[in-house]
Amino acid sequence: MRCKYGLKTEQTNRTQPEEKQAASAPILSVEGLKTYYYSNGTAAPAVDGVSFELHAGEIVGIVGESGCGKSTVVRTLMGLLDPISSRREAGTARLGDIDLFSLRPKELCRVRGKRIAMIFQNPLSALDPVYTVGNQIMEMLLLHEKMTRQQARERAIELLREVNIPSPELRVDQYPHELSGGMQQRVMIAIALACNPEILIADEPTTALDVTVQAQILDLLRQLRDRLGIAVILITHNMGVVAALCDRMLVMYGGVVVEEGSCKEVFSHPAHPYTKGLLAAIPSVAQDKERLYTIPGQVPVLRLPVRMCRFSSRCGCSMPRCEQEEPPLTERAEGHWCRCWQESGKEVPADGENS
Amino acid sequence: MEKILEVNHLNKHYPVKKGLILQKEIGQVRAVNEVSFDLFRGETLGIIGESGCGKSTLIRMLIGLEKPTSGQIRFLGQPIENGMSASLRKQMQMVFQDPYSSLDPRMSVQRILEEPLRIHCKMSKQQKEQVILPLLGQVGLPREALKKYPHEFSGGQRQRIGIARALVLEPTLLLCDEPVSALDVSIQAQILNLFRDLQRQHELTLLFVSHDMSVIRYISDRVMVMYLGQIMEIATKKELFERPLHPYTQALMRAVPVPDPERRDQCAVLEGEIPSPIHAPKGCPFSTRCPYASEICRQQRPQMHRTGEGHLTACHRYSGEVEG
Repeated sequence: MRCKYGLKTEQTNRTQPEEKQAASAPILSVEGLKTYYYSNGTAAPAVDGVSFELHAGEIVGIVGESGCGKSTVVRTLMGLLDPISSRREAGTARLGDIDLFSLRPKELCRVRGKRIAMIFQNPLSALDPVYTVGNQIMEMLLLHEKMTRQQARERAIELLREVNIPSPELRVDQYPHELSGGMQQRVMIAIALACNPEILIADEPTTALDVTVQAQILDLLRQLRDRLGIAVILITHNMGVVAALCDRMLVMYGGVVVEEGSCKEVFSHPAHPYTKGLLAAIPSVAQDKERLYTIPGQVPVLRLPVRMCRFSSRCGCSMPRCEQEEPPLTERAEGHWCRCWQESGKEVPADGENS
Repeated sequence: MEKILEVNHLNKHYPVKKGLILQKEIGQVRAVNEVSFDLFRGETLGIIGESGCGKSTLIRMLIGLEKPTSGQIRFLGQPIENGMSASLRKQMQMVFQDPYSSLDPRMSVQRILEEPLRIHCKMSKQQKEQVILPLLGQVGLPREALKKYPHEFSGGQRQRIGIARALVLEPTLLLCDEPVSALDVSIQAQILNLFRDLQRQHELTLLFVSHDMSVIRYISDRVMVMYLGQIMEIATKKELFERPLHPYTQALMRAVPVPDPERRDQCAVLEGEIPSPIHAPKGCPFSTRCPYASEICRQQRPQMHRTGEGHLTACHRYSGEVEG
């Protein structure tokens, strides 16, 4: 059901999906973010106009397949882009009252790690193999907080306990290779939490882990949110992980957000053909599927300027208009936005009939 | 039904050595421990387990990339644990996990697909083309792909090349080691459907390894659950997913996040982690994490008990049932 219909532009003040959040101002608001990658003189629009807001204590999921720009969004926010091959073209990101992109490198260092922390997909390559895990947690504390080494060490042990590592007094002096993958990811989380950040960015935190360990890490992230009120941006390609953890989700395709809304709303009433296709393409543990729906073709290579719907070449219900004009994000239900010319969108068959 | 593959008490133990010069053996990693199962013509057996459960080692022993420490493997009625003849070799092919490292970057797709024919069959150029071209269509690649090199393709297309290469010799049995785990969801769906179509067209028997429960449910007829080198449970897909008996299978099912936010609470967490295979538990390998573990579980390794039609479970809780 569509309650109202409005264009989402960069100036629009957007209503929040849930009432409890309507009162609070967002702790992070990203507007019109564009990041392009350059190679051989051509620009590839990895992120092409992404806007979103994050509220305290909220878990927002960014989902999409490889190459959709989901990692580039957070890398741009954290200032982790390779300056030679990529450039932020436009956009603002406000963390409270400061503009992240206007900070000088030294100022950014005071924010990064202290107010926004990040955990990565592969914990073994993100941790330094020649330092003990205790040292790596203490590094954060000594850099950002006024602490003696002794205090930092005690806090490190406390942090390891907080992320449910058994016998933290022993683990603190171990090296990353002595820990299992799940433990390494917990250490990563402990490092990220060291300075009580407001925002935790998790870039595919469970992709390298087994399902039973994945469930433990997701459970830990949920506990941390409940206990510390930390806001989380979770990047993943796994729809199950989003459903298990997130309050709100953004679906990205070809560098833009194609659908945004509360998890409940998007999973129960997906509006964009890509989201519908993605949900129908997942095999289910709960039931037998006769045949999987497949989205035909592959992610296209985009050339600038983009003057069409980025999904039109793979979309089952594309119209002539889709080839000529890029659709804007429009509100389909309260807090549920979709980038599609189809007003309601055709249904995707549950069992694939297209292939 | 005809048995394609019979595996009996298969073991693969790796020695753990210590010291630089006098390498003293201090222990063993039992990567695959007393594994027995049968595979019937035309079926798909899914093998599921977490990392370190021995599923890849098992597959590598079946295809001859590893030599078993002990045990028997019979393929099409002949023992193969000490290698197989060329004519038998043709009947078993493999699709690998990583479509990037399993294709030679310096060979064109045509050479990649012709290589098995060059080794196993004497064929003229035209004959080879007659085999390759229809196959290329079946896996959904255009004819122009023949002249290209692997780097010109995306991950999904490379996996299609890998599948075509495995099918060139018209094998009876196809071993698939995590063939979709490196692919995106929409591409994964394409490849899974392709496996199903090809299985019908070529009357293939599939042994399909995956760590993803939902993939296994989609592709398999029967499912085998492994943990620390041992089979925990083996049953038809319907039985296993509707009536999982082994505590590990039950935990595994509950750990999978379901893409439905309404059912969030059903996701329960299994405590602890997989023990190191060097210090594997003495009794049941799952006893360190099992909520039902008792004294006998820690002391004695459970046998496979028949717990239903074609349903075997290695758990002391079902020891009252007939031994299978």
